[in-house]
Amino acid sequence: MFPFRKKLENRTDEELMQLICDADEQAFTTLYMRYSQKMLRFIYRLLRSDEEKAQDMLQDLFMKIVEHPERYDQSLKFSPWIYKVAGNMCFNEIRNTKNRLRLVETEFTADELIQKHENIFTGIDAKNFSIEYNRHFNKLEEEQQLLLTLRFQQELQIKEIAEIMNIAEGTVKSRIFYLLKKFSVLLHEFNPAK
Amino acid sequence: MENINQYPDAILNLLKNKDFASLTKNEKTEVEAFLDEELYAKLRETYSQIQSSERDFVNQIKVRSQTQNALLQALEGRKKATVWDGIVQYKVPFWQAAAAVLLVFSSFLLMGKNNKADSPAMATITDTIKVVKQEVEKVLVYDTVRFIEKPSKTKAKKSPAIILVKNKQRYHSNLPNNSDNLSVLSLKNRKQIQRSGYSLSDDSLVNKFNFVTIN
Repeated sequence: MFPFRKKLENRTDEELMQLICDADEQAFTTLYMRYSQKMLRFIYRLLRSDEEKAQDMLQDLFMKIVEHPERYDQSLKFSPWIYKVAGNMCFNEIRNTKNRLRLVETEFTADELIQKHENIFTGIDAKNFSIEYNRHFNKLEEEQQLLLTLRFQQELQIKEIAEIMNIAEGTVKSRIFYLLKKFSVLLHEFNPAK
Repeated sequence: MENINQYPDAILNLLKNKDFASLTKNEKTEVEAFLDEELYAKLRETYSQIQSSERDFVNQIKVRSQTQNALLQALEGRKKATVWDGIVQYKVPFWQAAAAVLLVFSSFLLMGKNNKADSPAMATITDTIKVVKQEVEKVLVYDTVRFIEKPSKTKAKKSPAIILVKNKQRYHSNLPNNSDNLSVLSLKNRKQIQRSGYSLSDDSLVNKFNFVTIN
């Protein structure tokens, strides 16, 4: 091995993509280990908890990188680019199926409703909060879902989110605050502080 | 929450990490420029719960091991295709292609030249065709005609029917080969044949030049 070759772990995502264009297996494995788990969670969230579909879509996402690495937009950094591609794939999948309609119309079962009313007086049940939050999440527009997932699940900075969504940083901030305020009102009864 | 666009990014990070009581003096000053304490507390709580829900939601999910294997196999396949494509799609400069063609042709020519004498397959075969010409000589045919005078039983006429020509040879180059068919008719015979007209015996020219008539 060339003694002065930079270790793959120390290479940037963009440098690894250059090596993947030459079908470098080690470079691909390094990049895959960096992003596979992160992207799976991202896709899983947007696909409304369909694990099987999320796993397949993860494979499809990286297969695009394997088969057509030349399609990587080198004017963008790799991270925003892969989030953009994954987000588009997820929303296309949702539009093509009827899952969105089914999830929006999901109502609580009788047990869940009883538990919900009981928790109004006893404080928050984290599980109920999650259920309620998820229900409201599924009713949001695609951009709002993407924003919440990138900020709260992936924990990206405002600048990165702005680059992925191709909007101004100020717009990102205003939308995050708006959603926070909306959910604080919607989920007020589930507030654990009370 | 007016002019949210102008909120510094730090406020979002503070909402994530610190409650109002834990803020430093400077941080409080910065926060209070945009939010009051009650609103800060509400937003912070919502932020924290949403984040917790998001983390719990996906915590149990893991990447399948088969995915990586399938992807590496695909990459291996592309590697092979890339090498082959590189060979097939390699663009040769025109002058190189032309030089290669010339080289091939000249090598064929040289090979042909050198191997001409040695190779039995390349031996030339010469056929001689002799054409025999038959020269036909023009042969002059001499015919000798002799007349034999026979005494006739009947009274000889004064003017003989046949004019005797002695040793007179006459030749005709255009005579047909079938000279056997020559027949000499006597004037007497001719008279019999001749139905009308003057008799040859009466012909003055015949008498004068001793012509011999032949049929």
